Amino acid sequence: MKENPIELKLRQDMTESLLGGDTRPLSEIIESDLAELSAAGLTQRQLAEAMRALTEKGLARQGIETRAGDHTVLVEEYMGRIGCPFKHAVREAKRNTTVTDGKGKTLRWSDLSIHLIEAHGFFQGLGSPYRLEPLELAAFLGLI
Amino acid sequence: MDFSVILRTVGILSLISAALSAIISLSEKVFNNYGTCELDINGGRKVLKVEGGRSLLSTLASEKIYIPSACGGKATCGLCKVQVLEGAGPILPTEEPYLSQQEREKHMRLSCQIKVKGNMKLGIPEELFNIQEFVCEVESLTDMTYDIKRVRMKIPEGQQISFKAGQFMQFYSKPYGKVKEEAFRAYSISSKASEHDHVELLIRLVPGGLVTGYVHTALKEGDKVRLSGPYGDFYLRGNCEELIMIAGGSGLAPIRSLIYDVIEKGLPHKIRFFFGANSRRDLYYVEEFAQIEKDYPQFSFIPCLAFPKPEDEWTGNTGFVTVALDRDVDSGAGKEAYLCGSPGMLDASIKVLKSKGFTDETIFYDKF
Amino acid sequence: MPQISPFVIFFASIITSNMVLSNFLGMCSYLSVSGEYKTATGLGMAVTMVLTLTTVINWAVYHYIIVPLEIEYLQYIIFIMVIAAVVQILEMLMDRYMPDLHAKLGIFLPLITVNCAIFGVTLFTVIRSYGFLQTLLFGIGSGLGWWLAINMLAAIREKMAKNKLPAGMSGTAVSFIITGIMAMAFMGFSGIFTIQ
Repeated sequence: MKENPIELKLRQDMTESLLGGDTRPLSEIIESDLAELSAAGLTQRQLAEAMRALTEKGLARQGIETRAGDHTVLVEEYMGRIGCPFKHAVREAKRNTTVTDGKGKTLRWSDLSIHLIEAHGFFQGLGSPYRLEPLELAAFLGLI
Repeated sequence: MDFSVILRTVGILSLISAALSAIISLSEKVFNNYGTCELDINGGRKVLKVEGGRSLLSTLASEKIYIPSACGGKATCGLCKVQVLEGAGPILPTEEPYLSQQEREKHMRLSCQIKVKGNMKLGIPEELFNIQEFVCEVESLTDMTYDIKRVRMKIPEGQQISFKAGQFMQFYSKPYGKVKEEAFRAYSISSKASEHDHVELLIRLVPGGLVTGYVHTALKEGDKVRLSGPYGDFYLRGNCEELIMIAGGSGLAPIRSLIYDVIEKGLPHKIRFFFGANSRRDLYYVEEFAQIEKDYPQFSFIPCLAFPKPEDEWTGNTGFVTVALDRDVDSGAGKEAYLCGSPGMLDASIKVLKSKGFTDETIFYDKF
Repeated sequence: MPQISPFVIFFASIITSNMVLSNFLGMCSYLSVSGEYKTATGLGMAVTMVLTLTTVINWAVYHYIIVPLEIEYLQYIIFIMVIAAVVQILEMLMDRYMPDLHAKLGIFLPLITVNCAIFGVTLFTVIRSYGFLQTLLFGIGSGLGWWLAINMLAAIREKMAKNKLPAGMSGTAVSFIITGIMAMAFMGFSGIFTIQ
């Protein structure tokens, strides 16, 4: 199927680090991730809210590891803001949340990752260093 | 098969394709040729004759007027706003999300989205005329803390940098390791404004960051790097008696430059510099500021450690920088505040300052 | 030339011989750009415009170049080249004189060049040997019909966006089903008039 030209433009304007060499149309990337998620009975909103809750928990003690249930959260902020690649007038703070769960598994996301998941269902391209696998993330957050 | 049929077919097809190509290139000449357009900047202060047909951002860049942009013309940052009084046409759908009602009334437009199609009247802040591009040699790379590097670069022969203390530069990274793209980010200048042949930036490593990763893992002394600048309206106003400076992490950079600016110009302002860090290992330039404190009684340095470790043997301020701020600053009268740091720290500090009577007119910080 | 009033052709091409719903032409962009009502409107408008223009121009090309030269066997290639050229020139014209419209539709024009509805309508006018007025109204009507169809699909898809669908049914799959049901509904009009 032909790629929607608006999406094509978005994809062409995205940096390589967001897509990681994934050449599928954006809607395909998004739909396949969301299908996995909905098969597990979850919504992008639920994931985003759980992520945001951890980030906010860590933000209270910025730069210091904090316990949040089974997770250890470290929030670090950097100067500047970063725009949304879907051309929303959203400029998220450069803020990284690094979380380690009880089994020693570590995931990291930024405020922009949360926005991308919540508003666009975009978990970033396969092969991107910032990609979060939907089901892996859901299991990590204790949602499944 | 009759040979003449083949010839005839080929001939007719070629003729038709040639005719269509001729029509297309002719209409390209007619419709896509905007000729020479005149850009009138700031009511005749500068008049440029340019070739039309390209975006305003890149047209201006080829005329050595560099409008700040963080995304490079993709309409994702909304920073390249320029006042276009005449000749821009209607607001495009790609611009809409980034323009507020106020900005629309002031005729602000995204310069990366609008095309030069005729004569235009523009309003561009005078500072932007001073922006240059430099290809600098990295003279030294110094670890200031475990995650902050100071990059000192030599301005090439024949060029000079002059900036207002507090301004920032755009630093361009090259592809390295697994990263195949070029990128650029804004970093504040930490060196003295009186130094015209060198420029220093303080760059903190962002895990997963493209440009900071380049600086921390790939960049070596002697490498050539590309810079453009100076940009920004974060500089000293000085319509007051006392300056409150607040910084965290690599936000120290512009503040250091500002402090030297005040001292070197012999300005009378009192300066209090609150520096927020987590623990001892995040502090740097401490000896230098202690020395300035000794030499210039108008200056005092107040480092605050939010979570000092036992081995730090810290006897100074403990807690977030906002705690010290709340305790030490009594009112906003006769004061200006200059802030640089992470978005969270900025928001928290601005809240405290406002509760003390500071206003949007007396609080200054970078918005990039 | 068949003895059908151009106005009958106009309405028939919107309702009973809808390009999408009865001929299943132009499906590609119809499916991929129907996620949002606003975007679908843009594409529909662009298709209508291009369709009207190219159908008329290709009609003239057929009757004044192809037939006199007796090169009917080359008509497919020539029609496609003409469509591509017209779209390119149209884009330039719009960029210059209608920046408003260009901002809305410009992005769709390259997609339209390869839209089979455009080519299909041209071929229908040749096969059915329409006269000029019939061709003109057939072009406009087909465009409007295509626009109507994509807008209906987009509206339904927007309404359904929040609904939960069984795995494997979302996106393209459900769009096909919706289109099928719409096509059946449109068959109900077929008693009014027919042009085939």
